[in-house]
Amino acid sequence: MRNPPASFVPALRAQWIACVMHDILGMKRLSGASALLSGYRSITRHPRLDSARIALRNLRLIGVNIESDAHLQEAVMEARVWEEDHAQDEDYSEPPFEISTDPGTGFAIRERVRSNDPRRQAMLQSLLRKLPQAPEARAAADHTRSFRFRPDGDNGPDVICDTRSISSLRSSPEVAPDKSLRDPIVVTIAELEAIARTLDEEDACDPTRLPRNFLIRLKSFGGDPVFSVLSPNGDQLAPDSEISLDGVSHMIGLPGAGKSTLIFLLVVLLARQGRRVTLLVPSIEFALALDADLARYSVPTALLVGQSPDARRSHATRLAERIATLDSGGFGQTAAGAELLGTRCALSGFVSVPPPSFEFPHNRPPCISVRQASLKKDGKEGREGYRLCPLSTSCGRQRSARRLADADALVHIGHVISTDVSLSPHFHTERMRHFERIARTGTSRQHPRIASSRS
Amino acid sequence: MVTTQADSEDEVEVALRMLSRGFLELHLGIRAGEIVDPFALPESMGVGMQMLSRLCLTSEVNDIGDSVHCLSDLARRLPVGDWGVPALAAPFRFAEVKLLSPEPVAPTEECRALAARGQSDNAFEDIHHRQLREIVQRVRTDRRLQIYSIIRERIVRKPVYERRELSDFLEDNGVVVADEVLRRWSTEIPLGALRRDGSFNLCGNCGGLLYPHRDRAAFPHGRCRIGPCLEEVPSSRSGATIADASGWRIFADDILAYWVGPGLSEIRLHDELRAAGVDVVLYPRDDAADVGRSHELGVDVKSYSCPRLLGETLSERLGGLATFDRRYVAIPNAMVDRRPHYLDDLRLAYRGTMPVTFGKVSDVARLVIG
Repeated sequence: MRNPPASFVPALRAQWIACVMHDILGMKRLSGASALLSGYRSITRHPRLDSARIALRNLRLIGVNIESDAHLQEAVMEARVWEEDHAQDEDYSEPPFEISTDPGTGFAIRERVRSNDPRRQAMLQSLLRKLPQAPEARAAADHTRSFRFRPDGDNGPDVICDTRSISSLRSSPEVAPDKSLRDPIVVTIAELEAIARTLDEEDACDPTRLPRNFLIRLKSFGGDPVFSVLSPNGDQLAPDSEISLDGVSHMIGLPGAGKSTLIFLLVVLLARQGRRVTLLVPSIEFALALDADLARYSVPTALLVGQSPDARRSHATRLAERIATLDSGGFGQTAAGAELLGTRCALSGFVSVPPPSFEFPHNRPPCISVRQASLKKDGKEGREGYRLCPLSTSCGRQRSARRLADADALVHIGHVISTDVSLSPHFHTERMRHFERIARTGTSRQHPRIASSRS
Repeated sequence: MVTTQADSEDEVEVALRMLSRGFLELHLGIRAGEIVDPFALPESMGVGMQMLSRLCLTSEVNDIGDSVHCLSDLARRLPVGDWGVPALAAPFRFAEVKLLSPEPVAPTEECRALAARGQSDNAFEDIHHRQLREIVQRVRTDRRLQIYSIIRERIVRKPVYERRELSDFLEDNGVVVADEVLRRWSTEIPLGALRRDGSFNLCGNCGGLLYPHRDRAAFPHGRCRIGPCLEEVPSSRSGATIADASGWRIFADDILAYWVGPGLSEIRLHDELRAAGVDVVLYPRDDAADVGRSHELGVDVKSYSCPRLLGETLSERLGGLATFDRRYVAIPNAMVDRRPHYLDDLRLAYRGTMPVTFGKVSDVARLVIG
């Protein structure tokens, strides 16, 4: 999520679209805006739009969502209404474009001010530069003072929490820094064989493990390679001894060809090199199984799943049903991922004044909606506002979000839909979604994205 | 890591008691066919978990009160002192308590003792014990007083049985009425115990099932899943191979956990005393003791990991043992050998008014034989 320019008013979004289409692309009407703002690569990467690419992307990032002509008409009408509503304001100045509300004209654009008008120039310049990421403004409540929440939104009774018995809270995990330039990612066949051999040796050390026999999938008993690598060489494919991952977006092959094995070995190899990897798989069950497989080889992982109460309930219930099939209806049993799908909120242990017949909302805990008054310089309490729960650095229910933020968790596994989930406000200083974070995260360690062939 | 004033021993003990009650109630649900549903936990389990979370956070360690699955797995594997919560670790007096037995998974006797603290005597009475006593009440023969012992001994000695053979046994002893209940308490041989040809192995030590194991070098005939048996014989040996599983049944996990596992030491003691000419029976007078003779001699075999909890529990209620003139509490040899000063700590913790002799199973046998 990006911070919009200071002068941006959502109701005047049609003016900002007009600024891009008129001043950058030289167009005289807004019709076609829905295609320009669709985000399709076939459009955004068109050479004729080179000069407007950043501005169009910025418009999408600040939430200008025009998916159809109806949306466009709504935006134009809303801008016109806003102008009429604010025309009498003391600080009112007329927006730079007059946009026809008649669809028959294609929402024709007419300039009200000269092109060198400072306001019009400022609009243009702000759209042509990189918009800053929106900062996470919400702060955690002070755990040395009591705070409260309402289990039923604003109407329920207050529940007072007292966490003063906690002498100090654990610190937040260190978040991976933003990506810097990296070298191409190249894996040699020899490296793949070496990691396969290492994993087989690790399996052999534990007689209770079912051996996965990775090496034999790469090399026959006689030592002959099971598969060969061919790379483009001019207009031909030539034998190669290494795999270059840069730019690879598809892997196809018959069932049993070894796609998943290859991906698994690559992930372990890259993680052991300290690289960061995101694995996108078709289901939470698949993600949990992969998490267990990687944990078996001591690869530090994090589970990229929806953190909403409904998503948590759905995932935890399905996991509980799976654990119940292990033995004893799940009693005394656990499975990989259970520690990341905790269902009980630690704050429940610190409720000091529960209202009558109060039941703690473990399913919808007040992680981001506790209320506490600010503290003035003179020590008196000021205005009350919403705060983040201060126990997030220790609470078991937040373990998954904590691990996702932790720079040490090198492999993130989840469903592609889960990448469209906001980062936890508890552990990040900027507001963004996971897919943005994936694109940005790296450090000297890089962040390749590998999607399973079944995803 | 810090321990604050809030972690006073009382608060810690209350948390442990609530967790114990929670596990017992959760297990009751499992026995009724439910599964562990993290969104439908017994209230005591929820309260116990929230108190545990509080202990974790005030001690600045990882919260382990958020997932019932992880917590019950932890309770199955480790004594509470090793859970990573400073307030539960030594010098907390119940740090050695194990709440769940590892195999088969069920609340331990210690868990029941903790859960029952501050409750009425029969608040957490073993449901099987009660059902068996009800059967005994319905029997109208001269041997009525022996029926309880006969059935219980039979279960401990043969946890896997063939239906017709058991029916014959019950008929011979005049307790056909128990046939239906024993069938309810047991299940067919689980598929996991069967070998490819449909046969299965019986444990040479306890008579339970041997499950095929991945580590064939250590468990060539399979592995027994009754914890105390594995402690006695770490590499299970086959006692018999049954070619066809049809008609065979095994008692449910909780019977294996509550009666068969702990019963191994009781049977050893009983057999040793009988072999030495001491006239004792198993579970005399409706389970007033584990091994005994009329009102004269009673021996209870206790498998508590924590001697302090055992001492305190016996101080509060000696149970049926109090009705005997000579009272012994015997601890399995392996347990005493593994934990130094077990008996010293037990004697120190026992503050009951009735004199009781504590010792290893082998020592108690020697004392009784004289």
